[in-house]
This record gives sequence, C-alpha cells and structure tokens, in this order.
Amino acid sequence: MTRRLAAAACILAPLCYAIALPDYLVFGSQILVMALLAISLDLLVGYAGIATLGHAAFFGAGAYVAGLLSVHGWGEPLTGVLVAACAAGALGIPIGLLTARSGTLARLMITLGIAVLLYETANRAAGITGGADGLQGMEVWPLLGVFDFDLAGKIGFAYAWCTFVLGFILARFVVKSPFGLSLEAIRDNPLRAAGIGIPVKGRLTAAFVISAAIAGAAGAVLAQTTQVVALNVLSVQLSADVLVILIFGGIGRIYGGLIGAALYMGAHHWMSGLSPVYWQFWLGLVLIACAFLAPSGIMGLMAPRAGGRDT
Amino acid sequence: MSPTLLETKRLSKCFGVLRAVDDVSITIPEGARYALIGPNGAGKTTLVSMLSGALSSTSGDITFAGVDLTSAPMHIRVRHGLARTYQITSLFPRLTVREQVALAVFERDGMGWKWLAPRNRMTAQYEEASCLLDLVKLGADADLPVGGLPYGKQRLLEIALGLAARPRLLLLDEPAAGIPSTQSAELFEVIDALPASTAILFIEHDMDLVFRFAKKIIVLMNGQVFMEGTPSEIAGNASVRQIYLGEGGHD
Repeated sequence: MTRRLAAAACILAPLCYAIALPDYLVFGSQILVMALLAISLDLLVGYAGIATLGHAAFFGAGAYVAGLLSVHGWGEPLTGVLVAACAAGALGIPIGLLTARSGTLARLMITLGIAVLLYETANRAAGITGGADGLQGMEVWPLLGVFDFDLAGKIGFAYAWCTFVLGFILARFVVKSPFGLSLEAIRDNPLRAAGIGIPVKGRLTAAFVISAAIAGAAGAVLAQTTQVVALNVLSVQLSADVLVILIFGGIGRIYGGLIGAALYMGAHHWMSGLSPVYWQFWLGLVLIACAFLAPSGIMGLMAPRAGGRDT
Repeated sequence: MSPTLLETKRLSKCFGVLRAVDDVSITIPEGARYALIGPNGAGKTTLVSMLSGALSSTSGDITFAGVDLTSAPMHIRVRHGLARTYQITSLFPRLTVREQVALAVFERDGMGWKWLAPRNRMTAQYEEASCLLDLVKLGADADLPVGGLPYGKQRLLEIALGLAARPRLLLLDEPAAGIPSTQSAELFEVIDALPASTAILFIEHDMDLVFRFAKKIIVLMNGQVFMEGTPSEIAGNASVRQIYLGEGGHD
C-alpha cells in the first residue's frame, strides 16, 4: 500500500512542479527525460548488476533516430518515439550479448568504448547528423495531430510527463515480475543463478534490450521537444551524469531516478547560476559528501531497505 | 535394480598436468541414495561440478535420463532435472527465504521470461515455495532476508533451493559442512525423508552419517573410482579401511 502511494506520488510530483513553476516547463521536461533515462539505467545497474559507462549510446541513438525521421519528412512524434525505442533496443542486443559474457571491468570498457565509437561516428558523419553543429531542421508534427509543440513548452512538458509515466510503470512491472526477480538473483550470485536454472546470459541481454529501448525513448522525447539533437546526447559526460543521478537518488529503487534527476538538475541549474564556469567544483563536493552521508542515495535515507524487499 | 538415471563414461578433468578426475565411469539409478567419499583432494567436488556443469569435462561423456549433457550449460542441466547444492553456502543474500525458493520454482515452470506479469499474483508458485520450506523446516523463517539467517538454516535453504527445481537427481556437496554434528544428523533426517522420486548423490566426510544414510557408496581416490559397494561391503574392505577410514575417517 505504501509502495502504491509512493508510485502515485512519483507520477504526480511532476504535475505539482508544472503548477508551481509554470515558467520553467522546458527545464521540467529535461528533468523528466533525465529521470526516465536514469530509471532505464537502474534496470541495468541496480537490478541486473551490470556496470555501464555508456548508457548515453542508447539515449543518443534514440535521439538521432527520432531527429532524422522528422528531418526527413516523418515528424509524427508518437511513432517517432516508437521507432527510436526499437532502434535503441536493437542496438542493445549486440552490446548486451558482449557484456553478458564479460566481467565488471570488461563491461565498463565495452560500454564506454561503444559510446565513444558512436559519438565519434556521429561527429564524423556531419552530412547526416550535422556533426558538432547538431542536427538542425527538425519538423515535429502536432501531438495526436492536434497539439502543437509551443515555445513555452506546455505540450512538450505534458508529452515528456506521459512518456515518463509510461516508462516508469513499465520499469515497475519489469522489476516486480519473475524476470525482474531473476535479474536480482543474477546480480547477487550469477553462478548460483545458473544453478537454479536461470539462463544468465540470455536474461542479461534481455535486460539490456529493455533498458536500451526505454533510454532510446527518452532520447527521442528530448529531440522532439527541443527540436534539435546536439552531439552531447552521445557523450561520456552524459553517461556519467545519469550514473551520478542514479547514485544521488538511490540505486536499485526505481523512484531514485526521478528524485536524483530533480536534485541533480536543480543543483546544476542553481550552481551554474552562482558560478557559470566552475560549478562542477561544488558538484564534486556534493558527490563526496553524498558518498559519506547517504551512500544509498536519497531513497536510502528515506526508506532503508530491510533486506532488499522493496523497490 | 531401478533404471539408470545418470551415467558417466570415462569422465576426466585435467588442470594442467593434474588429473583431478581420471576416467570415472559411474551409473546412478533412479531414486538412489548414494554417497561419494574419499580423502581430501580425491576429486569429489570436481566430479560434482562436472556433473552439474560448473566445470567442463576434458574428456568423457555424461548421459542423464537418456540425454547427452556432456557439454550442456548449467541451466539446461537443471531443466533436465540435474541440480546441486554447494559445499560453501551459495545463496542470494538480499532476497527473502521464500522469494529465492519461489524464484527457483518460477524458473522450473518456465515463467522466468515473464517480464510484465506481477509475480505477487503467482500464488501457486509462492505456495509451493512455502511447502518446500516446510519440508526443510524453514516455514517460520520464510519472510526473513537470507543474509541474517543462522548458518545451519542456510544449509537447509540450500537443499530447499535444490529441490525447488524438482530434480530427478540432486547432488549434495557436503550438505552438513560447517554445522555442529548434532544438527548434521537432523539435516540428514530431512534429506533421507525426501521423496524417492529424487535420487541423491551426496559428498560427506562423517562416516557415521554415510553409513547410516547411503544405500551405496562410491569411493574416490586420486580422481579414480577406487571401489563401489554397499556400506557393509565398503566397511568390510581392508584396503578402504586402511587407505581411507584408517586416516581419521571417524572424525
């Protein structure tokens, strides 16, 4: 019951934000996109126990797929997100297969390597992606054929919120399924997991695909609501940011993504206002403090887990 | 004589020049209660690891219920009904007792791929998990996280986890390792009471327990089968007594 309440709070909190801060809706959409990306990462890191430094690869792939679709004459947003999610999910298959058979350090290197490869490919293929200038000229059609994406970002926020809610509910279903339980078992003890009949590599690859698809959807929503795709959607910095968001919020608890994203992006906004060039100095301090004071993230402070029975 | 369940032919495992398991050909019938004994380093755990698929074989064949499983991965062997427990407790410390047994039941029922179905509605599997826990006398601890469970109870949970796969052959690697001898007899009572449809091959050092619960004993020495026979045949064999039992077997 309390968990249902928490889930409802998580879904409704963004609406409170929209009412309280109507002038910051574009920023709010970005928070929601990052929260969804963090939730997708949590499936991998928190539940399946796969360390990755390249989650931006899926986010960026989704953003570019949605962006290219609308540049080349298909600006329908919903199908765009769907195609982007499928493309990112498909990208998750080879990467999942590669990482599923590797150890932790090798996983970090593989995921980092693939993200860097994609980044440089997009950088080099300027004719298609716009390279360092970003992908320009996106034309996104009205949502459901009715609602035009406005400059104030009202429709964009509503759209980002709906995607976030769907992604959040999907992730929640996954972690509460037998499949999700098997991911936790693999995380805790992969050898024993195989010993009770779990096909470990297959499950990890599947987890990768689901996570990648959600990340791709998040990227697509960012592209469609901002109507531009910058190269940094594929950057290592973004992969690191989303990992930090997850650590802030609390790993292995799907609510952590939203709380972490709101805090991190809020802090980013505030600190970069104080000191536009050196704001990361303060972020570094906060990170170290967080590691000592709240090693399980904000969610860990709010609801200490009793032996891992919560989500 | 019951029909053969597991058969190995000239099974070997080499680590470099060491032949840890050397030309082992054994058969285990359905419903067996077999003990695997031998001095330290005889290759008992290596053999069990090869049978369960944790280690690949250098040469030889493993046939289980008529299927060649020599190179099958571990989870496929489990699906065929060949499960094991570990000498050093190997559980999922962050899950509750019931949850991890239910997990094994889900996998056995082929539900592990269901990624959108809420598992708390799968009452049949959770009830079966509870029954298995009652069987090993852990019913009262079902909702506790495994990490905080006393060691003896973790050993029982190992067995419940092995049973959840509903195996036709359960390999028990020193099920009583690390618990006081008073409790180990209790644990073997539980093992002995398991249904006859589950054949059991167990490794055990305590000869009293071996002679009490095994119907047949395989003696392993330097990776080879030294002798195979009923407890009375083994006890009556002078060379086994000299080589194995003489070396502090009754400890």
